[in-house]
Amino acid sequence: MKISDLNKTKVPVIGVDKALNKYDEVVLFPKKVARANQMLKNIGLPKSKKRHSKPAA
Amino acid sequence: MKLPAYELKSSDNFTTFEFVSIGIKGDIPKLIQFSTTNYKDVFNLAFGDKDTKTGNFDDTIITNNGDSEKVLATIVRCVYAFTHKNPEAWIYASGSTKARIRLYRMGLNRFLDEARKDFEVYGQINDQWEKFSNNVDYEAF
Repeated sequence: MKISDLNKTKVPVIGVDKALNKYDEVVLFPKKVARANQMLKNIGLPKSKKRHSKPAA
Repeated sequence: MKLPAYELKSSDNFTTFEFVSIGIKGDIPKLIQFSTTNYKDVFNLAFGDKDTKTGNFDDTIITNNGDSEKVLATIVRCVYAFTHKNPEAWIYASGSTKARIRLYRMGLNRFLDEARKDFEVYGQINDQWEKFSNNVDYEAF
């Protein structure tokens, strides 16, 4: 990718810090995730014309 | 998006991000996490302050570091990075208090025109989803 392309993209250039990998398997904010799961159970997702998600198997 | 944002670091798979808020209360490390939910491709977005002494995270603390707009701009950058890696993802976000939800809603309003070019944005109110509109007291996004 050229520098000019990098300047136009909305996707930021982000450095990887492997020290953060240890958090990936840990739910750091469990109350928020529980709330999200409750919402999904109660009302599901918006009706999008583009795609639909279903409960994970 | 041209608003100033903090420099970000990420885990290998772009689900955990870290940055340092710099403001009137000092330098405060913050962590942003996209967590899986019970639905495929639906992720919960949450962030909070890292306690440098205990290593714990708190998403209820009111930092008041005077940089809320820059923090929100940084979170938006995370959303772009995460969805670039996970283009099918839905992202759910809410606040831990009504005041915080209002803050996020106002922040989202600021980015709305830009966000709509790249995302479908919905607000949750009264157990329903609707296309996000200004000046509606949504409970989540």
